[in-house]
Amino acid sequence: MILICKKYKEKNESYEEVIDWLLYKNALFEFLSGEDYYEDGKDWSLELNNTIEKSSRDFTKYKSIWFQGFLKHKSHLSSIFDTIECTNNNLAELRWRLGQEISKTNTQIFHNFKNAYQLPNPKSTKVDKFSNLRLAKDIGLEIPPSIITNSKKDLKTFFGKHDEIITKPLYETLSFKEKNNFISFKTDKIEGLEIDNLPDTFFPSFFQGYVEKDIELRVFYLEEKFYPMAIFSQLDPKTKTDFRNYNEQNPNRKVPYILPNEIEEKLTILMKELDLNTGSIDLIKTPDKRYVFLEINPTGQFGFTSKACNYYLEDEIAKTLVEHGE
Amino acid sequence: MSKKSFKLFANCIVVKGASLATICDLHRGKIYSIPLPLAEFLEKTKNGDTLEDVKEFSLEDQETVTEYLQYLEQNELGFWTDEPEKFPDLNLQWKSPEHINNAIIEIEKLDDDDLRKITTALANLLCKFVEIRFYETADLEKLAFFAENCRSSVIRSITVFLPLTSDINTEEIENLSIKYPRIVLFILHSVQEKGTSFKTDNPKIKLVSRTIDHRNHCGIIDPKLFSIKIPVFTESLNHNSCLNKKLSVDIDGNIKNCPSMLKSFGNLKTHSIEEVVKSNDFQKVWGINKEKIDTCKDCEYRHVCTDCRAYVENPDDQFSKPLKCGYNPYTNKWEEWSTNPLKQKAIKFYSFEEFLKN
Repeated sequence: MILICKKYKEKNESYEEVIDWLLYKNALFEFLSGEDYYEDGKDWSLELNNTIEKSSRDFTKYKSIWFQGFLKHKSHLSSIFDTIECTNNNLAELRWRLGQEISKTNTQIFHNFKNAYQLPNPKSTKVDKFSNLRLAKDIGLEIPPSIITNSKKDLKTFFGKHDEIITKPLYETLSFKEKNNFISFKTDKIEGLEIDNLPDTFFPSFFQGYVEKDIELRVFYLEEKFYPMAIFSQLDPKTKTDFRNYNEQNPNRKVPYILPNEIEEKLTILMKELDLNTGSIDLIKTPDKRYVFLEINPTGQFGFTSKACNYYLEDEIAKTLVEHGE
Repeated sequence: MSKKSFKLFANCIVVKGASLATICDLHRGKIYSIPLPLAEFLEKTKNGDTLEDVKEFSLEDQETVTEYLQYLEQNELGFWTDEPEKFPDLNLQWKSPEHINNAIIEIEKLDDDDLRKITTALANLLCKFVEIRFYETADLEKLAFFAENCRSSVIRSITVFLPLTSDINTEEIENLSIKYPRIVLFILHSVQEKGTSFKTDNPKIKLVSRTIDHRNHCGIIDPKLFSIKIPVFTESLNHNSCLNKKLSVDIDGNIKNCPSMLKSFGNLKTHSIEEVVKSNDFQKVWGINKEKIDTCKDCEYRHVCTDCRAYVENPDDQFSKPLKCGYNPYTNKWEEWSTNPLKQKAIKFYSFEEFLKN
């Protein structure tokens, strides 16, 4: 039996196609979501004492777990947070504390997977871009010059050295709606003028020297196999900094690519160090043919890599789950 | 300077016909006609030294080829690279996670028992797309019954064809469109210009004046119906572009590849749909790819076009060209198929004279 772990409310086509392949292979599967634990008044418990450990849900039948996500605090826990009555001063603290409690609880829920094959291990899916950069560098991959700082002075020096710089979140990339606007945590170019307008110290932020691109590479990794895609984002000024600033009229060309062996070997080591058996890796290939590692998204979207390159990743994922789920 | 190759992007694929070729841009859904010698040149030079290769043409042709390459580069169909081996061709595999992909049901005379059998079979066969056809009367209760029984299937979309008759309950159609989100489109056909006061803003309801009162309205081959996409292209390499993984139940309950085809593999009252679909006999037409079809095999549009095995130029030959195609890949001209003197025999055979007059 396969267990599919996801946020029920998140719609995702490539995920649906994996299910199609599982059905086609007559595989048995069930679902699990944070909603089962934090919504709808369903009761559950995890018990631990000197002699036993037991869970109200039986996990022993699951031989393989596909971990695609679990909980979105904002949409799933609103009922909990809505009922909190306290002053503004304490609200942020309270929400953060509750978030931490939830996260520790989740760790215990995931502990139930310990005897199953996990694609990937939920423990390894927490994004930490800076640590990953350090690790990549230690393995011998090239990385962009990076800095975390709250200092206008240091940022100016950094900018002076690298001409063009970007900022991006250390944690996940995402955006959400606020009234008529979107609050975004994403990659953005920083102009000199913007730096001039900053106060002497500001919220600690992550900056990187802009790496000149020939092409961007999005590489899907699954059990030591690489499925690389080249994105010609350079042809379009709209997508020069981050190809995710889509141009829908004229989508960036995306084609299959072959990585040098040396890069594959280093990336394999990196993925093993991070205990990740799957993920999407972003790289840049510079005009002088250097490969620069940017980041890894353990549960990122793979649909557009699969479709553009005709890789049938949905089937590959289903196959992997079935092989381990028997 | 190191050598540079001009390469088409992997999802822009050259298809050669008898006297012209195409570049099928499967990413942006566009198709470009190019001369055959250019197609051959592009294939030859993609991993070579393009500037050297160009020199093999006569001086006059060199200019033309260079202009073409500029055009292809400007339109982002190709690019220059000194590492051509890093950009492999697109893998042309095709597969799909279903036993039947799409089904056409002529539902008018089928009873509840028949419909239950059909919906169970569609669920078991993992069918994704369903087309329901009413020709003369629209029985919305029957439609609702069908949609209700599809709930436990993996059907992604149901399209319904129904005639706009004077007694039709348009409010009920609106209700059904909300209650069953899997019904993505209601096509109300045979709409008389003056005869209707039915107006709707519902994007799922479309009115067409064309009369669709018989299955022989199908089988049209037209550039408007080209589908320039990776799955269509790759499927067409080894499979039929219309009938592969298709199932039909005709108005009398006969299980067929297509309602317009004569051959029945049994009636659903006496035969199991699942068993029929599994049989080699039923799947035989699935493998009739374009390379096997007369004329189509020489056509530069063959991998983005549809097909029709129900109405063909020579009804005695199942590999003959679709009757309702007016394209000639030897002269590269589109002509009206219905007035083509060579097609009159087949038009008579299928008794198309009547409907062509309309």
